[in-house]
Amino acid sequence: MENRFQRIFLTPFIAASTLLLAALPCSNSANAAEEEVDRQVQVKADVERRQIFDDLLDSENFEVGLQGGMISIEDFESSGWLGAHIGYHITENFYLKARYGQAKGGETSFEKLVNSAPLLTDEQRELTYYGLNIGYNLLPGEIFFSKDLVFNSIFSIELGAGSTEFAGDEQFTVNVTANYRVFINDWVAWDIGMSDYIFDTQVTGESKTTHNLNFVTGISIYF
Amino acid sequence: MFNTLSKICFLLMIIITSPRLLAESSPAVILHIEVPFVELHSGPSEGYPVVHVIEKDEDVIVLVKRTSWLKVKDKRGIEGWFHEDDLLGLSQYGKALKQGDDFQQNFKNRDVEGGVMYGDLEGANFYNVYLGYAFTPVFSAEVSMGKALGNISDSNLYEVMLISQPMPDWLVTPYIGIGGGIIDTKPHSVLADSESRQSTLMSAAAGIKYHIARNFLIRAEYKLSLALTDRDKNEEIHTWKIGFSVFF
Repeated sequence: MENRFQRIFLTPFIAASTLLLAALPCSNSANAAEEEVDRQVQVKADVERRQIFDDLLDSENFEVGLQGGMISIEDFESSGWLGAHIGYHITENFYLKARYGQAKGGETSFEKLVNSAPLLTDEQRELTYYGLNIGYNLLPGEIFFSKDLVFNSIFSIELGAGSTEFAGDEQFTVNVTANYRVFINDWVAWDIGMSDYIFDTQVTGESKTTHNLNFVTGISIYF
Repeated sequence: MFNTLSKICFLLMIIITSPRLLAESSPAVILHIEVPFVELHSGPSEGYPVVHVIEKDEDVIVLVKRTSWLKVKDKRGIEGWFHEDDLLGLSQYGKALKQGDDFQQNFKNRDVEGGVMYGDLEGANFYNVYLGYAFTPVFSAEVSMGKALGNISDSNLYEVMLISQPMPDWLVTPYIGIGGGIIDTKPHSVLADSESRQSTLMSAAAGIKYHIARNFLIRAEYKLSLALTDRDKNEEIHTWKIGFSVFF
C-alpha cells in the first residue's frame, strides 16, 4: 500500500526535480552569455582616443618683460629703477619669475647736512638685485576701456627671494610683490608692479632690516 | 638717452604691430565638437567669465595653448578659451581626443629637470639653481650652482651630483645622491682677515620629490658635505633645503 502511494507521488516529483536540476546550469550559462554581450557592448563604447600633438600647438607658457620705475632705497633717497624678467606659467594659477633689476642710490641726509667724506663710493652706490619669485594669479578679470574695447586683466601676488648687491656687500633679500597685468592681446601685456625688497644692511654701523619700496611699469611679451 | 628711448619705443611698436610669423608657420589644428555644447571663457583661467558657447558639429581652429587652456576660433570668428579636459567632447578628423598630456607618465619619463632651492647652510641663507638630466627613470645627474649669504662670510658652491631614485613609481619619490664640487668662501670685508679660500667638497644627499601639478614638482633635501681644508680637521657642512622645479 505504502509502496503504491510512494510510486504515484514520489516518482513524478523525483523526475521533475532531476529535470529541474539538469535545466539549472543551462539557464546559468544563458545568463552568463547575456552578461558577456553586455560587457562587449561596454567595451565597444570605450573608443580609442588620440592625443593632439603638442608640437603642432602654439604653446605660450613663457613670458619676458622689461620695466622701468623707481625704488626708494632706505637712507639713500629714491632713484630710477630698470628691471627685466623671464616668467614661466606652470598652471593657470601659478607662475615662476626670474627677475633682475638695478638702480643707483643717492646721498643720505647725513652726507648732505654734514660736510664729511661720503659714506660710499660711487661704485658701492650701485644696487643690483636678482632672484626668483613664485606668483599666484589671484583676481582674473576684464577691464572696459570703451563700449567696444575690452581687455583681460589679472591681479597677482608674488613672493620671492634673491640677492641684493649694495654698499659693497651682498645681502639675502626677500620681496613681496603685487602685480597687475592688462592683456593688450594674447601675447602682449601691460605690466604694473609694486614690490617691497627687504634686506639687512650694516651701512649705518649696526645691522638693521630695510624696506625698499619699488614701483614699476612695463611691457610683458608671452611666447 | 632720448635717442635710445625712442629706438626702444620704435622696436616695441614693431613687435606689437607685426603679425606673428612663427605661430603662422605650423599647420592649423582643426577640432570638431561632438558634445551638445562647449563653453568658451574670455581668458585662460576658470575665473574668467563664459562669453560664448559653441554648439555640436561645429569646427574650431586652435590658436594658442597656455598652461592647460586652449584658445579656439570658429567659422564666425568667435574666439574663446576652454580647458583641455573639454577635449574629451571633441574630435580630430573623426577620432576622439585625449584630454591633453599624461603628466604622471611624463613625470616618470622626464629627461631634463631644472629648478631652484632655498634653505639653510650652517646658519647662512642658502639658495641654488640646478639642472639635471635623467638617463633612466632611476638614474640622473645634475649640476648646481649655489650661494650662501651669512653674517660672517658669503660662499659660492659649484657641484656635480649623481642621483638614484629607486622607486620612480611612488607618489613621493625618495632619492639619494653623491657628488663633489668646490666651495669658495669669502669673509665679509669688515673683518680683519678677509682672504677668500677655496676648498674641495665631497657630498652625500638624501631627499624626496613630489609631483604636484603638470610639469612641476616640489623637492626637499638634506645634504652632508665634507670640505677638504688645508687645516688639521676637515669641515662638515650640513645643508637643509626645499625648492621646486620644472621638468620637460
